[in-house]
Amino acid sequence: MKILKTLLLFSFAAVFAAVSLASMSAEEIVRRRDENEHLESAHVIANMIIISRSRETEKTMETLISGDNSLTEFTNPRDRGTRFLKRGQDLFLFFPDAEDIVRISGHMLNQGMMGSDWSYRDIMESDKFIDLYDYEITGREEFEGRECYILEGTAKEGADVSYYRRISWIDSERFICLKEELYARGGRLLKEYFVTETREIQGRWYPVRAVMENRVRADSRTVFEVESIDFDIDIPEDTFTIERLRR
Amino acid sequence: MKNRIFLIRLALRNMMRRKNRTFLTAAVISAAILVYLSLDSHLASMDEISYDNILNFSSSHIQLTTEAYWKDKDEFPLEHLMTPGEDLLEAVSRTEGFKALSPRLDFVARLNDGIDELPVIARGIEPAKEKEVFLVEEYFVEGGFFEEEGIVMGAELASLMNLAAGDYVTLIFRTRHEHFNTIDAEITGLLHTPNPEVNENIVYVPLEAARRALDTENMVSHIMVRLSDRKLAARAVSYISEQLNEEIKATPWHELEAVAVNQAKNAGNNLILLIILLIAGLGIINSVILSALERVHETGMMKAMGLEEKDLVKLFVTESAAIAVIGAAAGCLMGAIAIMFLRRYGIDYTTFFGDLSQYGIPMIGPIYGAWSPKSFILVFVFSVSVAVISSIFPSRWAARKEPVEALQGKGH
Repeated sequence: MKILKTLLLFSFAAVFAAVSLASMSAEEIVRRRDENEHLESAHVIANMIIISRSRETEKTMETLISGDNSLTEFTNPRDRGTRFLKRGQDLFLFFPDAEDIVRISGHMLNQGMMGSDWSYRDIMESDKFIDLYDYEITGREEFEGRECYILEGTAKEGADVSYYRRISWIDSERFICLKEELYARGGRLLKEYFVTETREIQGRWYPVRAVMENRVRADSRTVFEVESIDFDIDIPEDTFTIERLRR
Repeated sequence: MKNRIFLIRLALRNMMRRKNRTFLTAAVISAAILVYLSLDSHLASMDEISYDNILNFSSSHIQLTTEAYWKDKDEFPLEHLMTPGEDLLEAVSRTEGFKALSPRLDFVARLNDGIDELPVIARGIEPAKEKEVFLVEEYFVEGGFFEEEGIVMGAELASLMNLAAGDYVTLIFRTRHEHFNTIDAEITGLLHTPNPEVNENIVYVPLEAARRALDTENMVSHIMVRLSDRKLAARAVSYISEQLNEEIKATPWHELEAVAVNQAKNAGNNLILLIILLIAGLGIINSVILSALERVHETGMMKAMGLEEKDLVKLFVTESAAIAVIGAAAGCLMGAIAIMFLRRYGIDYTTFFGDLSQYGIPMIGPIYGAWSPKSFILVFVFSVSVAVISSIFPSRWAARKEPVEALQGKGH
């Protein structure tokens, strides 16, 4: 009798979980995604392969992130010592050869970071998706063998975002985005983002290999690979300073 | 009086007697004047062309913007646009010398042909109004302005991206709310104006399409105003400013940076002209002094025959003045011929140096000459004065010599 009770309880629990999953709101899905993908603080070692027609350029980098701030240093031979400092809405670039700091502002922010398909502005958007977009579920679909929710996000009134609309394929089990389409205000598809590898790291699923494809320029895409990532680490306060950028 | 006539006759006879010296001194003066006048005319013409290029293709006589927009105009700040009300347009059209106005919506974009991208300044315009303010329409090398949809750009920019009229391109930019947006359109026309900035950096799109794509409702960045004469701009601006609210700023053409740059260039040109005048002055002084030194023997003779010191000085000065007048007149004549030649044929520097715009000279095609009566008068008076003043001292020196000493040739 006791076994029967337990079984019943389990079945109820399973049914409840299934029902609750099926009826998850768009907001909950995006929150779960943010929990996985949004970085409060982290130390990332990554590389970036920029492919433009037949040309491939590889760059390696190390990044420290804390809230709205981040410091990235390139470590590949050609760019060794080049650093980016993001402080809130400001972005500074340090070139070791010129020993000079340049503030990247205005229209320069729209250009690709170090020639990649991620614009400076893309890397500056560090807020949670839930704070930037209003989402609605538009369907479910299997993508690369994973069951996904399809969510359509429209920029919130006054939100400072580059893409007015984004359609995201979010893994319904791991709550990680596997594909995303980024649209211009007028509806033109500008970029497509694919996650080709995910990994569970410190209890959260995280995209470790992703490709950004430029849909306005032919044969232009950038592969981003995370070699290692440590979440929620302590970073000294003086890390995100101009002084540190120069050092 | 008799004495004066005698001296003038003597001076003329001396000049005729020493034809070579007279000719050489006059030639130095006329050559200097020729160089000065040709260069002055050429530079004045360049100057005029630069102004015309700025006024006829990009800035017009007066621009209206918001005060805040003007402060950050190099950033093309979409957050500081203005909505031109009927009252504003009416106030502008009541201005003295008003000819036409054209609204503009400038924004920064990337011109994309599907493979490459170039940063450009996109300019939303109403072709019918733009034609009344600027001369762009006369410079189409292919096609023409759009009606509701289309893109017009410089032929140079198009060739850089291997584009032709009829091709489709995309402009990528940020809306007023910072979202990416695009305008996809066919190239309806290609331009080749004398203004390199228009040819290389500007992409024209329909104002309505730009407003829609930028989410700017019925706002504009500028209102460009054309007057019947550019000299009226300062007065027109003070009249318009009285009619406007504080947020809107009217800027006359002469306060533009491009004009300031031009004025700085003019200052440089004037310095060059001044140096030429100084060199010419030294040449004249040199000739006059040499001729005085040569004639010490002669002065001794004249003094021995009873001519007074002051008469001798007068004689020398009269001779110098006469030579200078002949030289200056010949120089002015040759200068006039050179200017006529310049005005007719011009000099096409692109043949020698390629595109001048790469040296910061905003002009294309041959550069002609400009008439400047002021320069003729200035250079004539200057040469004659220098010749007269510089002849006083050596002639006094020569005239003071004792006749015996001078005749013995001890003056050297």
